Amino acid sequence: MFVEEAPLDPQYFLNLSGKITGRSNISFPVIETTKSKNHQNTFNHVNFVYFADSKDKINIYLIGDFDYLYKKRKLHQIFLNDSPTRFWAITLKLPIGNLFYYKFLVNNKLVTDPLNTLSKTLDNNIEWSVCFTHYYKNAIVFEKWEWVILQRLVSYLLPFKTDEFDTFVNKHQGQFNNMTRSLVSQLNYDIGCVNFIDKLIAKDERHHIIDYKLCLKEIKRILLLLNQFQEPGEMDEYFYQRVYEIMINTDFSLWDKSRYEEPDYFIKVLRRHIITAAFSHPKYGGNTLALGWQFLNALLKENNEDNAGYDWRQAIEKPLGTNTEYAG
Amino acid sequence: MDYDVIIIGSGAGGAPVAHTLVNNEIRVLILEKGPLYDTQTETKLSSFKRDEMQAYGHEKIINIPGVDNNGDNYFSNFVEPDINNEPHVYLNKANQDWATIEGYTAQAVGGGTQIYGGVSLRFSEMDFRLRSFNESRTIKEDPNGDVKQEARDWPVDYSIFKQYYNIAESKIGINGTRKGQLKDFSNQEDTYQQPLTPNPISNYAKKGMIALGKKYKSKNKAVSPYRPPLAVITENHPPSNRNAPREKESIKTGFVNRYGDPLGYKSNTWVSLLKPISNKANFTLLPNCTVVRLSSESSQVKQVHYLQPDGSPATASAKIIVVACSAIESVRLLKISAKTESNFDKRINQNNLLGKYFLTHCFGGANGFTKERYDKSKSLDADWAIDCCATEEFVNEFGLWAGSAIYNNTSDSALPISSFRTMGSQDLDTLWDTYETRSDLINNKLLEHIQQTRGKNLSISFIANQVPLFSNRIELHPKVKDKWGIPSAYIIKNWHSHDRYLMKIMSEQCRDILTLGGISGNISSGGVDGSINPRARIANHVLGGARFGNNREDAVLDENCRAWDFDNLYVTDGAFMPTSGSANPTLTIQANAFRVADIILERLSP
Repeated sequence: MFVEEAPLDPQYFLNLSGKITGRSNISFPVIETTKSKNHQNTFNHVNFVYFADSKDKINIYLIGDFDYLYKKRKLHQIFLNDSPTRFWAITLKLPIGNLFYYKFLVNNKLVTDPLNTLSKTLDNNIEWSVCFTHYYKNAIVFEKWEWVILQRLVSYLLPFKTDEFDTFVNKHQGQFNNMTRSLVSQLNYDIGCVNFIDKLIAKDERHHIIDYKLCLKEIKRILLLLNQFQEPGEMDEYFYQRVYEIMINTDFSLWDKSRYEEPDYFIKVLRRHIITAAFSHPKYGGNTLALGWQFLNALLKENNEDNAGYDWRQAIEKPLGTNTEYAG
Repeated sequence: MDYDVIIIGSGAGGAPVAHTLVNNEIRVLILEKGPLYDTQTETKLSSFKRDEMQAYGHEKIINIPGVDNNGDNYFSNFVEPDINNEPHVYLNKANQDWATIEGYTAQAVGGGTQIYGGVSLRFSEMDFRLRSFNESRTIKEDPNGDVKQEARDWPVDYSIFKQYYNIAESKIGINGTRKGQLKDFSNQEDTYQQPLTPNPISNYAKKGMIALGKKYKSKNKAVSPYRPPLAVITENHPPSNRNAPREKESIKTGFVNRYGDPLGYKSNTWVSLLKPISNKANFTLLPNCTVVRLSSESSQVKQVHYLQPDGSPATASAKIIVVACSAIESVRLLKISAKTESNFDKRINQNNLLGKYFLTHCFGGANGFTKERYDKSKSLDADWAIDCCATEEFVNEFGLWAGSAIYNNTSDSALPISSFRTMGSQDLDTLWDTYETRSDLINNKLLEHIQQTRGKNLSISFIANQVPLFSNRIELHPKVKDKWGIPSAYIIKNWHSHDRYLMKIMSEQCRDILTLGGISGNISSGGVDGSINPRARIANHVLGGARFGNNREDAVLDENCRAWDFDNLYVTDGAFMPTSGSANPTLTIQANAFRVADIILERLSP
């Protein structure tokens, strides 16, 4: 893959200094939308930073599977006016919808990114830092069975598997081209909410990975207890309704408290995640094709074009929205 | 010295000073702790986005040794500090030390003006003389006579501020209408730009305000509502080289309060005051630089000690130092400087008032639901305001010490996630709480909830003076420190009984506006004192703690906002206020900063 380095913007990296020097684990690299001439944003700017121990010159390079692994790209020292700082940085133009492994080569030693909590140890036992660009759709945290169960639970909680949504999808199918038509019918499960959650807990809310892992395991156990004849993915929505009731009512006659103490707490987290996923900008992985916004608009119009809906398009950048000034 | 003036902070208190001085060839350095986020250009996107994840972001967990809510969650804005790095700590009603995001405006070039709603009201003439106004009055719910004892007349009154309000309005770029406002605008050019079409939901507010204005007259005449002045340009603004879009209504996006504006129509102090001077040779702006203390010799502040973006220490010096970091942080900086140096301590603490009489506002309002639905995303922050509760007649009728501005909030809950996030929320520390407890809001019930509430929520707010109390104060926390190891600000404050009474009266007026406007059904109302964390709520109105005055025993600053026992130290953010005013404070902070800028300019001119 031909990977282009974007021009270095020192002010951009200096603006990140508060986060770089902070106590909290802010996840780097920082992913930014790019400005494109024809509104087709197919690349992100991925901004890598290394915070050195001193201002002295070091040899630091970036390697990753966005390119040939032998190809090392030099990081640049950031200057404040004419004075060197401890920040070293590089910005790469990387395609959206992708995940990459990378490391820094610091004075000839390979290290993972100290500012990135997301990493993966590959089969050869070598740990790599991981980053992903906007609109990435493959699972990072969830295993397939976890994804399936979560998707069923989320689709039960969301209002999209209702008659209203079916009406909306049927009414608007003519507006989608053939490629997206099948996507629309697939997406009336969760419109990307599980994908959003997977990305959120992979990066910014890692403290909730344990909640999802433990609860999904226990949910699976309860589903199979309630229905030993089907796989969770095939079960009727009734069983997910039962699981939900067990969790919000903390029914410890069925829920094993020793595996996870507060199932009602998990439901709070999940419900917040779902709403955020359904209505946040699609670049974060949910609200696919802006279906959440579109649904909201259609729902509020109540089949009457004279009714006020939610005209989200007027504020949002093209090609997703119609705003002619704001570019994203 | 490389500079004539160093200004610490680039928001409402710092930027006007820089603007005036730089345009008069004074050499100025601004040190700003936060980043510089510019507007969108032909080739570059802005870091500010129309993205609800920027308003509050993902969940973070408090990890601060020494606070009692360690382990709780919080949500902070894209340009607010991470409180794990820089906590504010307050004493809650159970006398626990809680970390909070409240009390910060924003940390970026432009400060709080980057993300505020832009309401830019002048204070009323009464606000400037609350001591003399109340001298012979009967004040309700003030058994100990605290109001009369603690109210202060400003050493500089509206007649002086008037011209500076006009300057600020002109230079910042504000839309609204004068007609209906009960302030003196006589002999002043009307620099307001034309307001945009109000969102139709605001018609209820207008109707209710008209009725209330007939009920509470001023000088026997009905008081009319007006379009509140908002710091958003709607026409070309030559002073700041900004052009409005051809389709002006496109400015109304709902991404207003809590959002930076990527296109620069919101008149934050970066686009309106600093960007226009940014290329001048006598102006240096250093963002991402944290001032950690000031050092002095005799009556001169000699050095400003700061940390560069990577934490490396540096110093700068100038003839004059202006502190404008937002009141809590300004007081904190002065206290830290005093802690590290006895001369500074002796001079800034020549009385015991630094940090004392910390102020926010009495505020609250009422909320109801319309029958029809409106698309509230096509909005700015507020569409209608009325001054009928700021008159002498009104305050006399209710035995209040001061009046209040009232306006409707238009863009609240306009965006999808915010309508859930702020459900029942009373401050920045309780976001999501109500929605999370409503486990019934799923599936069809969630659908019903959206249909019943979305686009129908109308709220009316009031902003009123808070009774100044010596006990409401900012200290340095004895244990909690920021990421640089510097003691954090400790906010200790409570509401006076008259505050509670005032908020009850004002929230009833807001409720009346809704019912008189045609809202039926369930209306909730109240003051912030009724919230879960009543002591925390500051709502970004961060004032007092270094009040100005004519008497060195009674004020931290003199009438020129100079520290009494320093020759060259000024404070120009909201810390200078001895009373908090009956309106949003930003325009008054800006006006005062322009005033002090003129004073400094006269000092420095040959």
